Amino acid sequence: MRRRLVTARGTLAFIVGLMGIAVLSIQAQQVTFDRLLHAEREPHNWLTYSGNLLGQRYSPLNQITASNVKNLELQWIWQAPSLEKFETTSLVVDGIVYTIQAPTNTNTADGNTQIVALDAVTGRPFWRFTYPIPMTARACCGRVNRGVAILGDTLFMGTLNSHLIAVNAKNGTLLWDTTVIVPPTNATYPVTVAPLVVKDKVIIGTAGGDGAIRAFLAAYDAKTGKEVWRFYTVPGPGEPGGDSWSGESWRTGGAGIWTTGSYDPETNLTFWGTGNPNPTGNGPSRLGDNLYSDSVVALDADTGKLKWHYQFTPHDEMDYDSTQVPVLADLEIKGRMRKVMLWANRNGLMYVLDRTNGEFLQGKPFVNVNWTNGFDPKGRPIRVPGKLPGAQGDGTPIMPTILGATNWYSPSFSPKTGLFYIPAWENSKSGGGGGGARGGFNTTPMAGTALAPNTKTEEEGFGVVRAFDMRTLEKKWEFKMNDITWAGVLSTAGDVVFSGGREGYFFALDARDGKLLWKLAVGGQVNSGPMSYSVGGKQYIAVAAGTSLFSFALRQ
Amino acid sequence: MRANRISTVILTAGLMIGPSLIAQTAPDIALPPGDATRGKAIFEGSKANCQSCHRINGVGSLFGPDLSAIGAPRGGGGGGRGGGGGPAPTPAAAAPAGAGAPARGGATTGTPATPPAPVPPVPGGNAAGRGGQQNPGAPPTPQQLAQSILDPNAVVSPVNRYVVLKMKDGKTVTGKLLSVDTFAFQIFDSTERLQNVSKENVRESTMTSPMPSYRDKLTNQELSDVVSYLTSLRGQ
Repeated sequence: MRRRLVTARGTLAFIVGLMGIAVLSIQAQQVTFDRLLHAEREPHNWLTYSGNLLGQRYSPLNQITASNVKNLELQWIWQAPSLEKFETTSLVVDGIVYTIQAPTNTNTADGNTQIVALDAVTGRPFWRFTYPIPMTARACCGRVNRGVAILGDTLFMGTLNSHLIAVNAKNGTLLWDTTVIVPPTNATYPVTVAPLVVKDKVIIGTAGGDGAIRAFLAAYDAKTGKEVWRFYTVPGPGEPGGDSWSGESWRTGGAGIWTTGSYDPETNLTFWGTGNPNPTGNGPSRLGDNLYSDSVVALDADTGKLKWHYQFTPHDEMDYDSTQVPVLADLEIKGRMRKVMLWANRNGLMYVLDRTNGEFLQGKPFVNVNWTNGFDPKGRPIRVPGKLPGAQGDGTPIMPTILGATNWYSPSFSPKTGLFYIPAWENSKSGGGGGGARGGFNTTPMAGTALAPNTKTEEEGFGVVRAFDMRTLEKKWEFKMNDITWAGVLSTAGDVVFSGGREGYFFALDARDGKLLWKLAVGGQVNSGPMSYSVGGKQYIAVAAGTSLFSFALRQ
Repeated sequence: MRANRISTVILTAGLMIGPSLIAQTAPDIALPPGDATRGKAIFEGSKANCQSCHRINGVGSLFGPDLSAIGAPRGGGGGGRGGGGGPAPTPAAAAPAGAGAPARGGATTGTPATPPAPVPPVPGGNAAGRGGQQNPGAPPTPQQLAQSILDPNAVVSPVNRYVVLKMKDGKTVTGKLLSVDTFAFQIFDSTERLQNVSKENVRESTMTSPMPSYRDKLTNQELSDVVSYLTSLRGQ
């Protein structure tokens, strides 16, 4: 009897051991594209910049709820040895966090760009991969990097000096390093965007559109780094849209890319938002609509061929970059189910487009807007005469002002509540430059790391998270902040919305009514989009603020 | 929440004398020739009692802006208010360094806003490392100083805003507004204490200058004397 028991115990131990091996083997599984495509099947992971290829920044995890989020407490902090803004959204793959330290402005070894692998439970580092960035390499508004992508065992990162690199996710060693472009003199093509993996390709775009560049999107073979296709966001003469630029202005037309796109497997289209035409404030130098600036372009993911486009702000002279995340959802619009794209634009308008063909379905301001009177039947905005910045205009403030109603930071769509959550600015007091136009009189409104004093009044501008039912474009609720925000929004299946702002609070709202549920002063500006993951059945919420990465979970 | 958000619609733009809060357009105030020595005596004496709020060369209260260099050219970068990444300014530091606030048509004046010179993005610059948005320029004119003395609410500067907080317990707290966020006011109060005041305890907040008008307290000659004294102050 005893022997049989021992045997049984041994068998059990063997089975448990096998299970352990199975678990390990699952944990060691490569991240296939099928996993990226079906991220909802593994909500414990955060496999892409926006959490899924639809760009929704929504977590199906529901351990943290509107009822218990008040018990959220800090689990760990990872401090980046960098002085630069931390705009990265980390990935989490089976218990490992992959994040990026932006290059700091010092020439120290620690100050280089680093991909860092951290334990998702403790925040302890496993490895660091350092990539030197020349001090001359920079984007317009900070030496930032918004994240990595993963496929197989390989991480992909764009760099400020126009490279795309591949790094082994297991040990942080370089696999390949591709030069995206050798910038001509006096031009920069920084890659600040988190790449998007579609099938066997890594897609990135080049920023720098405030300067004399001709930006492009490009796809690279994930195994070799070889360029597969390239799509210029500014067409040349003879190409469709090429006649929307006067003279030689297309050569330096800008239209940079600095926010990750999305992907629709049904149509095999990948969608990307483009930045302002260059030079922003000199419209007469580039007569025409200036395609495809301030647009969303829908490209065949295999070939890079343009399938459709929609231009949010034709002939932009107000710096209304359309570098927002295209958010894909299926919604009933005017009695009919539609495959839509939701878009909250820097120009102050929110849109619902048919993502299969780019048809404009409906749109409406989500902040105070006075540069347009609405849309024509085709969805083109109708400009208000005289509403131009600076000496060109009639002297009255333009709403939204040049830093816009929102920016690159992510919105969120919750399939559970059906609401679209937009981090926004109301900044309508002044326009055309100056302190007020830039978000406040006493401090720069540009994102930074440390906290900045704020004495603005509500009329001078404030940050806000607004929730809309995009079926009707009806505002459901809003949560106002006193200062502006550069933080993205995360929604979860626990009916919680997480966000933050320049005030340095990270907070949780009820996704249904916007009620404040929890907050923590994190000591630095929140300039990133939160994300969620779980390990061992425990849900975490992570966000970068200041120069650090914070991870929270419920009190045990 | 936002019952206690600051609203300039219902508030008076407030200020105390300070280089950063002087109107950019000179008001039409006729001043006789002034005497800086007499002005100093008035400033320090009980009639004006300016030192109860203002400090000059280390003497006087820290509550109001430090006027030690009110007559010196403004701007020039550095000092005063830092850029976006700078530390919260102290009241003393906020005053003399020429915060260069734009003239602003406040609720009381109804004059159109005059935006300051645009501060373009610094290509590649780290926002946190930028200087403050300062307007280098000439010191305030005698007329502008006189206007600030006669009508402290005529022009407001965001860097020298004062807030009056009516608390739910019936008390009133007045202070220089260092910063306000979604949940609290950070102020330098009239007793020279730093306070973080939770909005949960605030019934009403208004931006109102604690500085009284001297329109009926000083003669035109005395006003001119004080102005002469202030314009002579170039810092130590």
